[in-house]
Amino acid sequence: MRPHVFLGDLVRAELALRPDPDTVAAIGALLGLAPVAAVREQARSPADGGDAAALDLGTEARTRGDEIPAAATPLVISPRTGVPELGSPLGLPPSRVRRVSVAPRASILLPAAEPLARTGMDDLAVMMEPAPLFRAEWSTTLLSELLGIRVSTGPHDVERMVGLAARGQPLVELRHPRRTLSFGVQMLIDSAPGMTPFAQDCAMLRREVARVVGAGVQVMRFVGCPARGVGPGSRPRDRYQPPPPPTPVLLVTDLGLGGPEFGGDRAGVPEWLDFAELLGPERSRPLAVVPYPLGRVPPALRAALDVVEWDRTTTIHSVRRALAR
Amino acid sequence: MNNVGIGDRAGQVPELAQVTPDALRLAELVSIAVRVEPALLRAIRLGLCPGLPTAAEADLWFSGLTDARSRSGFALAPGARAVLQQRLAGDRQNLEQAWRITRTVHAGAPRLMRIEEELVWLALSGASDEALAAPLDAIIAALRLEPDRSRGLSQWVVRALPRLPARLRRLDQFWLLAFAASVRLGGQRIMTGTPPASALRGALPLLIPENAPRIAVSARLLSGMLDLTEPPAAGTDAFEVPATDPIVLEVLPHPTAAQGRQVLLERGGRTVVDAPADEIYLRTISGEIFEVTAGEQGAASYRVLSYRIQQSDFRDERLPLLAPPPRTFIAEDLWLPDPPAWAAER
Repeated sequence: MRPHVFLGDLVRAELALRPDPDTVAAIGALLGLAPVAAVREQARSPADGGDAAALDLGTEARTRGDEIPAAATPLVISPRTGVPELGSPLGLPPSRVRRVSVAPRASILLPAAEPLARTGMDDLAVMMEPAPLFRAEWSTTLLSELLGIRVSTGPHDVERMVGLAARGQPLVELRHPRRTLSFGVQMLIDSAPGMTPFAQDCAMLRREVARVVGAGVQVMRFVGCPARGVGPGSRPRDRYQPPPPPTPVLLVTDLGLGGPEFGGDRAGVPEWLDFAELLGPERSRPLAVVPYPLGRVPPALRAALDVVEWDRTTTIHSVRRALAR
Repeated sequence: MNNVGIGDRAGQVPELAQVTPDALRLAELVSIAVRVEPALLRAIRLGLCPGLPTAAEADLWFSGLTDARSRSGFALAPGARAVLQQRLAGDRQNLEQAWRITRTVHAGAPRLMRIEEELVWLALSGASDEALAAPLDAIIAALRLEPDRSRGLSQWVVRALPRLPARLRRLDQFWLLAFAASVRLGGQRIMTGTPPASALRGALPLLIPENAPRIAVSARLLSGMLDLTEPPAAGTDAFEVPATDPIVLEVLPHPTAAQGRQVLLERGGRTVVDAPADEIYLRTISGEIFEVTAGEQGAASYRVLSYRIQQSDFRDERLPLLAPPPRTFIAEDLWLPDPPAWAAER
């Protein structure tokens, strides 16, 4: 084991006391470093131009069995810097290093910045909802137009009834048509990866439909195409059952137009055409709200479904145009 | 300078411009954001380019420019994001508006995410180095003074630093954080590239924890050459340095030299540098200084002249002397492009 007293301690003692060589040897013995061959002062070191202390430590190191350099030149300690000069041999203790190390390090202080404040209860992350895709001020009107079923339960059409009477035809009760939401709606939301960017929009639209239509909203999810299965959760497994006529079917889907390049559970055009046929002719055509321009929707699908673009540019007129096809 | 483990997709930007320019436009405008949620994407589209259809959002979402897609959002791929940020920086008006919207939408986002986005904004808008350094100084102070937060902050550093604008790499604080976090995470690699010579010399020792993991490195001082190896080469002497990747050492002619030559040693690698002296000193990033001498017949020896610094207080932590036995240097085990003349003569 190496002693806990180093030669540097002897050097410090020597520099502080400036004793004669015998005293230095005695101090070395007291520190457990004896025998020390010689500790001597040099008058001036040409290297730094000032007084220097030099120690011949070769004998001491050899005595302790330590490695020493082949050419054990004297340790030259600069009184100006207090550290061994370049050219000093190996195995020398780190005498005076501490003082010199302080000088450059002490000036290096980190900026007096305040630590980043800790996260508190007020800093809980809040995720905002996106702005709705339909204009908020038009939303109720658009949904009423989209989901309302035309029935002849409006006010009497007096003009047409008078016309019938004037022509001598049998008088029947004629009423103005009107749209009603009383049949409710079956809302089918696509959970395929292609609809991921609009997941929050789907949830918002669902709330909006419930607000407009009321209690008669049946919401189910599907992946790709409802014919693959529907259900309330993220893994729809139930066989799809169309609602009784004339309840409308609202599809919220990308019709397989978007999504990742691979593995997106996309449904192709034939699959969608089969689904449209499944609904039967006794009801109005299914409505599809699609977050893509109509120009991207294949013509065959536009012929089989009423497709409305889910965007700010959608107006009551564009909805009526879509439904009139 | 590339990020570790992340492919540079900058080359995909021109391709996307040909296919979906709407998505590219949107991508530029959201490039300040660390994470792009549907709310931000929508706010940027409706606020800055209302003529773009909803489909532009989906086109960007599923484009090759995005990484880490989830139901809650996506991140732009770092390489592409850097290119998009450069394009956005060229349009001052849109840059300012995009930042305004991003800051508003992300007002409730995690604090570190907001700091990262602020750094991006400051860098792109040409803010001063002092303004850029201020948020980093706050994080450095937290790392230094609040050890219970250091792991979480270090993990943020790992994620955030590689994706910050290149301009930040000129700051000393940037590299201080990189190495301080690396050593706290067991030497995990955070950045590639070479830090400015001044970056690690000063305050980094104050940021290295006392219990930082260490790894052994060997050094051999040969005729005019210093050979550094990690892990230590067989038959050589080793000394321990804070475990970072890369390992950073400073070669000093003199133990009190304020400035030396910075040497980066890759983990599992080897570096040979010029060292025209019979003895040199190596300073680690924790401030320890090792003396390396050629020794007898070319063998190297080390002696620790270590003085560790904690906070701004100095403590003399004299470490035991490492005294390896002298050995004979075998020229064949050192690869050098041009063997020194003395080796050829042997």
